[in-house]
Amino acid sequence: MNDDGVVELEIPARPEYLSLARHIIASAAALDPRLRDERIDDLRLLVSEAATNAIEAYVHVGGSDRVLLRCNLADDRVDIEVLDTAGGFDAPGPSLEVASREPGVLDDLPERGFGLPLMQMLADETAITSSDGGTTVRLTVYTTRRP
Amino acid sequence: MSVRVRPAAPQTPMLFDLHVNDRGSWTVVAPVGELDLASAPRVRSEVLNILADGARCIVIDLGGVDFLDSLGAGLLIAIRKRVQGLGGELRLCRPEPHVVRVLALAGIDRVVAVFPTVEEAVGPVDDATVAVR
Repeated sequence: MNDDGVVELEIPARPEYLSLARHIIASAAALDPRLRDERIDDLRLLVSEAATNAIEAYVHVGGSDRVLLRCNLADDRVDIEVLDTAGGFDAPGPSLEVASREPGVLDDLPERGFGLPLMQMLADETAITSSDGGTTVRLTVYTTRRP
Repeated sequence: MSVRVRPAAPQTPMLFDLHVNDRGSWTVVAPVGELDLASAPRVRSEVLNILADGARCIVIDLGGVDFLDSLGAGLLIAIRKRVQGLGGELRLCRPEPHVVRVLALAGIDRVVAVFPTVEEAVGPVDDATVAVR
């Protein structure tokens, strides 16, 4: 990756740092004047979802480490990477598609587990690489939304 | 340009506040700040306390919520389930446009009435019309 326009932020894997991560990445993305406010809102949400997953992964393995966030302002897109070393990604929870079912079924709306579906809906590209050594979530938002 | 930021711990606690007011038969809970993994436990705890004290009709005033993610949305779903299980009702009011969007993506706006103002949200219990702004 070309390092031009790369902003890196490393935070302790604790919930109170989520706000800082969202604000810094959103502020970095706002440096690109072509990004509309709605897309910056998307980026803020994407960072929150990926970083929340990373922090919760550390909770599951019983430790507290650090989460690295990398934001690359490329020519036609913003690439975000969120890396943890917590050892693997939890299986995705119930799909958001439940929201489109009949009203009677909506009582079963999941309380957890739609972070990943939400990321897939908001990002133009989503890639999750997971191993025993940790998880990398790569999210791409194009400067102009593609069909 | 490459900027590397490594904040020193401990971090200053983020700004988040929670206001609770009784409006007739309704209890209005108004979180102020960002509703996420950091703040959701406080809202959950406060609502559980309110329900333990006997309240059954809860309005969550989202007017002061400037950020909501799937964790915060999940909390609203959990509160709705708890309130309904007790025979009560949950209503939401005053969401900002980006919060409206998350409510829609999570399907919450289909199962919880969302009102443009607190005054409309604390209307009669038996007149539960959904008014999404």
